[in-house]
Amino acid sequence: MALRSVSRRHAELGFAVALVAAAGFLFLQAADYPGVTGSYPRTLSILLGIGGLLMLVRTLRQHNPDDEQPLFERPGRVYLGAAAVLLYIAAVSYIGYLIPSLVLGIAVPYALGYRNMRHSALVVTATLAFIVLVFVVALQRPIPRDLLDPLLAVLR
Amino acid sequence: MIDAILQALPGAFAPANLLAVILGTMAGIIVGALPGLSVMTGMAVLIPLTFGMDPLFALGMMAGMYNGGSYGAAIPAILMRVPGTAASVATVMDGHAMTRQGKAGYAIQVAVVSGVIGSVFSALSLITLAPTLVKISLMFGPSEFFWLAILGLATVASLLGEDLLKGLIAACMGLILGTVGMDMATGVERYTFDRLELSDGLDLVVLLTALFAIPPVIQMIENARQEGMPAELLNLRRQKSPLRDWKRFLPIWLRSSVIGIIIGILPGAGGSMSSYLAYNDAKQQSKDPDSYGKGNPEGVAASECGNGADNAASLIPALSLGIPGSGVAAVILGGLLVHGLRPGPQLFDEHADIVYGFMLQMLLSGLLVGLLGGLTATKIFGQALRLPEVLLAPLILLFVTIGVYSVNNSIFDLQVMVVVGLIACVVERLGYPSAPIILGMILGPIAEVQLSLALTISGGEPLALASSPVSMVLIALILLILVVPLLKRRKASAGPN
Repeated sequence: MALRSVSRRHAELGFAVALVAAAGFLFLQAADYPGVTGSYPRTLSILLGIGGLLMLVRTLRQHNPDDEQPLFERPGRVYLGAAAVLLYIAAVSYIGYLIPSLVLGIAVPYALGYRNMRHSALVVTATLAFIVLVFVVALQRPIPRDLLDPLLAVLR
Repeated sequence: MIDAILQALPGAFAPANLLAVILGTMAGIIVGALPGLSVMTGMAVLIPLTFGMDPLFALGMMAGMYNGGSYGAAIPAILMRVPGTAASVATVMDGHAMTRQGKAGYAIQVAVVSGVIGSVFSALSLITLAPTLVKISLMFGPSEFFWLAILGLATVASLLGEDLLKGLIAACMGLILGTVGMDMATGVERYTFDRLELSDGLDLVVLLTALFAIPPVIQMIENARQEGMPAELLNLRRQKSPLRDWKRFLPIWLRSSVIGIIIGILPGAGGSMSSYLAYNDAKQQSKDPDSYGKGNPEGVAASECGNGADNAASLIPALSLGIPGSGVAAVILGGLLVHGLRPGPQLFDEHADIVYGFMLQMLLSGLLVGLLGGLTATKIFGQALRLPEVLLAPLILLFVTIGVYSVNNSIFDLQVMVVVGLIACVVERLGYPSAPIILGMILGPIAEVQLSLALTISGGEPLALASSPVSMVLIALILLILVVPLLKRRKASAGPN
């Protein structure tokens, strides 16, 4: 079954409600801050809440031709992209930078229908080699703790 | 000013900094040439990568990225009928028609020469006008600086987006993000939720990257284009130099440069508007306006010259007052702050060598486009266009990850980047502009401190905020900027009757 995207109108309404809710939460948080420290964020949260309410009212009152248009034309790919980005950063946190980067560079194009895996592997390996040589070896920039750290230590 | 320029010369022309300008220009041409990637995305990737480097090295790369990207966008516009950025839409009209007539090489050469002329005039205007504006700002006190910060926010919120309300909400989101961390006046932590990583506030680099680099990555994955540009389109043949036709192009270059500079200086108005206006002006002044859109090189010259002239000029209010003239200038403003350089009179006073060095780098990168944007170079850099988007998207993420992590050696920063970046995808898709968010984050703390100072000086009297003539002028400008779009909208909805 093909994934369906939320309509633009529903997304507008949902985001406006989220803005009002966030503004309320931020206002309550700021209520605990003393004196002038709290007055500035309280003012801003009120302004954000007003903005969200105006957006909500405007969206409810207006009907545009593109209201029922989907927010994302190809939601499946957007969800795939979001999941890939989230998984990649989670993997970087636990495994390190190099292996997840290599997997990302090959798996994402493959999942999107790009079947020339040799090309993908070549491009991502060359890019990683460039990053390691320039940023890690030459500029001594840190990278997340990596399973391949012993190998990098030799290069350094 | 001459003394300051002479002092800045050794720094700007130091071999390492020259290399930075060259690398930035090359990277800019590639980024600009890739449809779907904007100069802002390039900057967002570049800023974390250059964090911790010498400021002039980092700024040199930014200057190169700005001017290089501005020209790079013309390559796919001319060859593929796909504008690299919105600013090169006007170039498509005549540029691609010339390609169909077998004059692609000439169209590229006209674009390069015109872009260089526009960029050079623009950089010269930056060098001469920014210090003058700084002198004016020396008359400002805390209340004036407070209103100036609000003016900056109002202009960017109202002019950069299509929807005033969404622009203002975006600015408000940025202002709130700017309150995260310890309040410097009282030492009380705000919105840190007991996370040590947030006590210094949200990192500007992380936010910049999240807002400007993650949404294009997701967009590329959604598009999932598996074909790059066909190689045969890069078989460019050298044709006659546009400089041989200088008499034909000179009036267009001069007028387009002036238009681009004026549009660039006006806060929030830059980008595509300058190239459109320059194109329209050239068409109106032409003896043969009907030939425009059908392969007239004058159209390419006007559009690219106007586009190039907008670049450095948009930095005039950004460097001197902290009000960016365009979205890219807003991001560069963030880049300056990342390197501890706060725009305004202090920047010119305390870091004259850096600020004038940066202006010289803008001039240098404008000239470098002439060398690096030639036909041979275009054939080389154009190879990047052959890379399909499905491969490009993960590569951007690779660069962004290494850059953001290395700012604070923090996995938490990467997590913030992803969460904010994914929210930014939805926010952007709903039509909320991203530039006011980043500007709100930059200007928010300034506005808060200046407001607090002004109120302390006036003994807590709020009316004192509007007592000086400069404050009154600034307030009037803010009202004008906020009211005019509303009136325009009302007029448009009322219809022709």
